[in-house]
Amino acid sequence: MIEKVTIKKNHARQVAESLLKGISPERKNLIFFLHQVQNHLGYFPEEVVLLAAQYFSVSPAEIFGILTFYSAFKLNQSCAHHIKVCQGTACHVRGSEAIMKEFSRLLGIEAGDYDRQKSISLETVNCLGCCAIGPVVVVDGQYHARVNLKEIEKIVAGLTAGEKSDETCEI
Amino acid sequence: MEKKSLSLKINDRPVEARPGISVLQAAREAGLYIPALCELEGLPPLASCRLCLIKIKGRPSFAPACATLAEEGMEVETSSEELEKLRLTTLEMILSEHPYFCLLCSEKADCDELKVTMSKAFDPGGCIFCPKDGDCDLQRVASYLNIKKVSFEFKDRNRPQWSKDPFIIHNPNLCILCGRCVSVCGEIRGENVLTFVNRGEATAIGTFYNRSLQASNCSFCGACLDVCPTGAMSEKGLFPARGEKISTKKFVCPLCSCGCELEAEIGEDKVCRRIVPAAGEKPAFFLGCVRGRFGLKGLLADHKLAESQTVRIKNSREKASLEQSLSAVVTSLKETNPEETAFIFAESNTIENLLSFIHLGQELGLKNIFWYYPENFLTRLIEFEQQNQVGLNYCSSVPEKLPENGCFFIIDSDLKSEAVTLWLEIKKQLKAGSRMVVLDSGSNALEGQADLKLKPLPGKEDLALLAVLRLWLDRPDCLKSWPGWKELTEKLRHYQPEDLALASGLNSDSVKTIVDFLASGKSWTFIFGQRFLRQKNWKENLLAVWNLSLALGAGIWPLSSKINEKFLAGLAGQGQIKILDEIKELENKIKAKKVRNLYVYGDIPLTEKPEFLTVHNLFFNSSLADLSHVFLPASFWPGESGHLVDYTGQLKESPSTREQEGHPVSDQTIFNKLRAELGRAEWSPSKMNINLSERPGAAATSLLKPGMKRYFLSGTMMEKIGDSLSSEKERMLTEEFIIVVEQNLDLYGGFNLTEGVPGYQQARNPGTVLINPSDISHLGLEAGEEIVIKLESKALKGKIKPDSGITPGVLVIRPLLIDGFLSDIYHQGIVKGWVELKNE
Ligand code: SF4
Ligand code: SF4
Ligand code: SF4
Ligand code: FES
Ligand code: FES
Repeated sequence: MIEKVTIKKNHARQVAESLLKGISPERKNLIFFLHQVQNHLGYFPEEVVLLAAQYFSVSPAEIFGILTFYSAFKLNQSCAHHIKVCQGTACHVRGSEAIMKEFSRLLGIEAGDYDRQKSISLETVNCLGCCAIGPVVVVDGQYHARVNLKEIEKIVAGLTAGEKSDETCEI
Repeated sequence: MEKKSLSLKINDRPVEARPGISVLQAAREAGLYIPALCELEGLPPLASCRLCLIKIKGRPSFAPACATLAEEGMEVETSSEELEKLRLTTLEMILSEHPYFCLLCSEKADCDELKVTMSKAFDPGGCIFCPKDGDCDLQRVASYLNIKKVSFEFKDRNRPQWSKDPFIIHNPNLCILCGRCVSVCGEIRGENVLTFVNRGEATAIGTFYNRSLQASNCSFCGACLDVCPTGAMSEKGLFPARGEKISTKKFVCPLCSCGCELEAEIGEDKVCRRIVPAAGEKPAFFLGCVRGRFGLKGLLADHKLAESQTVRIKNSREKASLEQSLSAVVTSLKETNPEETAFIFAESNTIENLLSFIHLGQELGLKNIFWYYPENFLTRLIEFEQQNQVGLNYCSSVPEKLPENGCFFIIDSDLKSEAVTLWLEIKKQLKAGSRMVVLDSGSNALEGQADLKLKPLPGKEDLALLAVLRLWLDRPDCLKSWPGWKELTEKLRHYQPEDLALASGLNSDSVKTIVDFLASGKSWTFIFGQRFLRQKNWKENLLAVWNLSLALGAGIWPLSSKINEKFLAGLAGQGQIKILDEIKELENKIKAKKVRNLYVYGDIPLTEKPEFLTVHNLFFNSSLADLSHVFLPASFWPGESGHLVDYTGQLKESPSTREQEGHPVSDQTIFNKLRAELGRAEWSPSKMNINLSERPGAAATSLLKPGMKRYFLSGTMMEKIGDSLSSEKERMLTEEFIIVVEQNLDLYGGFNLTEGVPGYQQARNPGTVLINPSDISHLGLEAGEEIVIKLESKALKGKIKPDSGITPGVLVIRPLLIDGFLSDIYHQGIVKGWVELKNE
């Protein structure tokens, strides 16, 4: 287990180092580099941030601030499955809060969190532009309309049964 | 003071302003109040709170006064119905996320009776529960704007407090996101612990990956506490003063060479509530560190104070009267031959107390009046100059001010710990475009901010500097005019810079980089610390830095961390006192009966007991006091008024902070009582022909005549180069280490701040051993594990902390000098050791 983590970390470092090769260490290039890391690695392990801090002469805390500011950056390794529950006004009125709670209960995680073992992340979104079919839940890119509480168990069971969906299914 | 030269109109009133100041400052200096929650003098303008909006004639929109420079002819309106309405709305918006009930409450006066029921009813949060109550900028602004309602729905952030750290609590629910703390932590202090995280509603103050402050390498300087306008950053355990009368007492911190002016707040119960840096010419957040601010508090807050008033005699636990004790001391002084009597003192005291003590010894005709000075720093410099007939010329380069836009080459000196106020000045310059190189074989908190850092092997600093010099010699901008140039180049050209670099533990590329870098900067100043001269090869170190500084036309600024050092080194130079740098020496004299009667004033790590030992120190509960025949209670800090001398040689006055009636007797009184019994007159500074109103640093520096400038290399230096180049690089065993013994200033008058102050241990980790992560894995250890390091004579224990800034094969420790062994390895500076491997 421990070994696995170290190998992964070394990999992350290697990726970051090779990305840095093409970038000059001026501060203005920092955000570009961060996007590159997001694209190639998908997340930001601490050591990559520390490396960037040293390279661009920016404090690690500040980079962390940038990473949490833009939603394009993910701190944690992204999961195989993404669940997004709409909390926009229309969906809210139709009970999306209860739906969120049910997901939380079943998965044992809060919104914005992820379950590493099951590799599922749970997020809220604000209005997906299809209020008419709300409450809306998006699972790995697939829209579920007029979701009711009973359905949720099925959705979750479908994911944990191990049928991996396409990882690139981002909205 | 610059000339006021801009004229503008504020609210139709003509106002003069210095160029370069903001409209807000100009208004403030003219006595006008503009509400402001993010601006703070000394911090860069943040313009985040939008409360200081003003109207400028001829400009279409409102402008924040804090971020608008005053201009000639400007016409400004700071208050109008429109503006106040705007401010009110802004404040309402701020308050919609900040518990505001108390701010609006009309019954606040009767709150004490109501609040019990209130807190039962729900979790209110509000001024009455806030440590800042009564001293809060937000309260001030609210009352100025006379806010009556908040029209936005209250949003309870309901975020958890940060309470795991020592000394500091952050309550995100009180934070108004002004950004002052982020700015002071990063821009002023250079610590970069705090940052804004997230955005929109979720915006908050955070740290790197949401670590605790401690895990983020917070230095616990407390600056964030000083700047926070609300109770969002507050000192742990501090309650609002409310009705209580707080008296404040200024004093000078004796714990390092900065001599920060601090202020103790004493409550009605005579207990110190807190210590804060005293704002003077500079804002408070430019002063102070964890030691003065949180460490010293333990001295005042603690029962130790009562203990310190114990007078004890003849090793019995029973108290004796002061008179009995004094007459025992006098008898011993009369009966022992002055040749066999010695006085010894530590420097952290007032000049007056030290002089009175020294003079008493002189009156008794003692030959041995020692200053315990294990660093032997300034005295070594003086020795070097005299031996080599050169003048490091640092007397004139000890600047009150740093060279403007100068560049800094820091060697073996962690200024953040040893002279933080100097670091803050340098930090200012770095922001203005100065550069900094850090060369350090140990750990140095400055490295993170350095443009370049060099990590030679401990004890090979000299070779690293010579490698740089060797490359520099070939440059056209090398200064060749000083005598000795030819010889120097002839000697050094025998060696390849690459070889010198390798022998010092650096790679040749880094030396080349540094030479280019040196060439690109100007006005270099070499700043080196006590660790640089606390090595066996201190002479070679000095030699290397000396030649390099000549070649670069750079200044030299030796800097160590001891208060009063400048003054005492002067006395030593005049032969008034002797330096004792190794406690062993004194112990040997005691063993050989050459010293039979010893009077110790202050804290000395002595373990050998002479025939008669007087200990005059703050704390009775110390191993030194346990040895003593007579223990006399010392009163300095914060008892007596007097002067201290800081690293620039400046005299600083420290008024008495302790209620005199609370303390039986001052040190001066004790010395004078001894004098009376010995038939001598009372002491006064005039007795010693020392004029305290003069700049006392001059006493030390006048010894150093601006001497010759000449290049030279010594025989030992050449030998060392030869040896290091010829010897095969010895392969070290994985468990063999070079140990750098760094300084630990957490000890004062026998009071171990680490033990005596809650939270201090956690903040300072005194027992940690810094080690490179690769060594941890080679040895099969884990971070945090306790290891045993075997030295030649004894073993040390400590918990390892991975630090990638440490060279593999090197360990860094910071022992407190509480016994002879630790003082001994401290004195050596660098020692060899082996990590004991566990048998499988
Ligand atoms: S105590 Fe000092 S270093 Fe720590 S967070 Fe506050 S300002 Fe930063
Ligand atoms: S913690 Fe205090 S200083 Fe920092 S942003 Fe919040 S209110 Fe401002
Ligand atoms: S920097 Fe030195 S003088 Fe200032 S508070 Fe800290 S120990 Fe005391
Ligand atoms: S509110 Fe859910 S889709 Fe618009
Ligand atoms: S004081 Fe000017 S915007 Fe806050």
